[in-house]
Amino acid sequence: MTHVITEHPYFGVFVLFALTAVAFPATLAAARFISRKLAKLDTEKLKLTIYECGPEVTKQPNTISAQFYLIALLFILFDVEIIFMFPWAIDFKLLGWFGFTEMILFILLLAIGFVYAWKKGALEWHSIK
Amino acid sequence: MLQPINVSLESLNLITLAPMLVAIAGGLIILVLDLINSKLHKTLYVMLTLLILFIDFGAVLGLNVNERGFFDVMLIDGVSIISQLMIIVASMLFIPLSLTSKRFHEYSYPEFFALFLFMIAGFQFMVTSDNLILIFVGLETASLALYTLIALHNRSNSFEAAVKYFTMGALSAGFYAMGSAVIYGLTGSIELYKVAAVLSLRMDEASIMIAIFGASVLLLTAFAFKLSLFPFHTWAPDVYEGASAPLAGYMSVVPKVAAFVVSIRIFGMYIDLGIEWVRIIILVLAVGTMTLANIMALVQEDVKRMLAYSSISHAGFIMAALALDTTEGTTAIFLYYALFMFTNLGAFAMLWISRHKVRRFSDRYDNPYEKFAGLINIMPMGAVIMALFMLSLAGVPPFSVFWGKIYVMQAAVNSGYVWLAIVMGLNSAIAAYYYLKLIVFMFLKEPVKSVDTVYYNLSKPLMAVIGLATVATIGAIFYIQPLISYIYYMISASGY
Amino acid sequence: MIGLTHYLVVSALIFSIGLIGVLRRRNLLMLFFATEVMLNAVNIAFAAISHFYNDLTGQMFAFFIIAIAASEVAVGLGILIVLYKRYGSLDLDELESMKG
Repeated sequence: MTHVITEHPYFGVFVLFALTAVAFPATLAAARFISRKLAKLDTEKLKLTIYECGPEVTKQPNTISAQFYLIALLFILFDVEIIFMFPWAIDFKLLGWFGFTEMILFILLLAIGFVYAWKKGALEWHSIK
Repeated sequence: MLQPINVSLESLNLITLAPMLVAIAGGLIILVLDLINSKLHKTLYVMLTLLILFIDFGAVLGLNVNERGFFDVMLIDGVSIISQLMIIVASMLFIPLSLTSKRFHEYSYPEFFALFLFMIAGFQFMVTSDNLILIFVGLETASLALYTLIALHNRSNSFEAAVKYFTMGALSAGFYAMGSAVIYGLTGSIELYKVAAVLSLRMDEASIMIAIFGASVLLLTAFAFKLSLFPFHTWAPDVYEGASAPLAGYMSVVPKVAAFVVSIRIFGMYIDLGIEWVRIIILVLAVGTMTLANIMALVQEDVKRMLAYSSISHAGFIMAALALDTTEGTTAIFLYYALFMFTNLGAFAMLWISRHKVRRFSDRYDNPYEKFAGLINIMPMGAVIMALFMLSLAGVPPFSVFWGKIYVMQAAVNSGYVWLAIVMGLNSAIAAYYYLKLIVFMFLKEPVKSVDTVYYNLSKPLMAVIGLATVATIGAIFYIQPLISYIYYMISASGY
Repeated sequence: MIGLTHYLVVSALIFSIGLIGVLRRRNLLMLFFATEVMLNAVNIAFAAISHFYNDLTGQMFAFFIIAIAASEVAVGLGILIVLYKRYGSLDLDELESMKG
């Protein structure tokens, strides 16, 4: 087996490491400095307020229901598990009964997690207030 | 058409997986029990967890040394058996601490116990493999469960602690993954014994050192975060302060044992290949850790933070033994942790006894030194036991940690690092100061406030755990010799 | 011709970007994004090296990294939501209460 040759490529990578560690923050700082200097700092308070006729503008608190986050978290978890099923599905015949049992076990574990989330009411819309 | 693969059960050697399967199945059983009947009392869960841990313990004892299993991914050697036993014993000491006389938020959830068991399974996977994938999976399973356990202690400080630990853990996961990518790129395999074989062939290629340097620095950073070594230790005191006292004591032992085992496997391999600067980096980290953490511990006003810094300093002590890479040095690591485990868990359990819902002595800290002023008048037995733990941590002769310290120093001298032994001795002398400070507060000062407070959380199970820790601390002289020879035998059997 | 080196350089660059993100960002959510960027950079490296060696181990590692990254996000965001409900902010400087 031929191995990765270390002569130049890795050296380049580590130079880049060093460069990014130094040059990137420096560029950021420079950009920030320049934009501060160039910007017209004419920040009158009235200028920054949202224009609305009549009532005073109040800042809205975050009104997204926590339920969204919960569903999204569960979605990510169960969605990603499918990457373990794809390789198995492709080589289904090759892997035979052994692969089948393993996948059944895997799905069983997922199912316990799913039932748990379900029973705890994570999937019902108004369960958590 | 390809023939289906036939895998016989014997070739899998499922017995090597048995301990982890016990822990995982136990966690699932607890979850299912909760789904069936959510009104069960926490005592049942504590007993169930203890039972599962006992079965787990038996399963580990039933393993044979130097076996491989499950497509050669699992590696049962002496190191993995010893560390699994230590992890399980520490967990058995930890779990009864949840039976306090006062109710605490986290223990009312059965999830706490399920997560705890998953965490143990994660640590067990981590120590029983030399496959980088399985180590990574075990590491993350354990860490993710641990973040949640910290956050379950329902206090604003504990959320902050969980987030801090999480950020550091995620960063170190990134470093670990990148480090193993570099190793994979260099050698084309992720099993450490194959990695060692390929690396030893390529050692005299030009500029391979740069790549090895990259890999080992990335991995060293990852494990320095986990072991809270010197430049990366900043999270540890905050996290220990935010976590509940028993969990803080647990965190100062078990995750570190697991991380040390992986470090022994990876960095021991580098040192064996004759890469001398890895040893130097580890020595620098170790000396820096023990000295700096000791100095920081001197200025703390809170006993829990002091204990946190002291356990960082002890980790530095043990890291120095890792750099020796002799059988004696590796024995010293496990011996030290086996002794330190009882003492440290006992000390944190003493803090747990005096845990209050509100901070009565200071706005900022839970356990300032003033809280323990005059403890000898309020709770004579408690004061004596706490003093005993402090003396043991300071390394005063007949008590347990002293033997660990002596063994580490002896190992250092035997491999020709006399200066290291001297630095260790000096550090122990500095450390004695802050342990004695607490003893002075307990025995020589007047109580600050009215008396009723310190017994607060005491109950029978807690007394049992503390009693056990005390016995282990005092009686070290009787069991130290068999313990050393057992650990030495196991480690030389696995070839370290 | 784009070879292994190019992929490794890209991977190292993205990893550095993630690392700098972790070091510089003060918002916790952004910080988590940065760690995800780091993990995904590693995935690129693994896939490229795996192709170079014609060996599937690297891709397996990448799979596991993806799964672990997902569970990390789930746990981390869970903690963050609780934290946000308590403090109303995710800024590291405002959260800091334990020091010293």
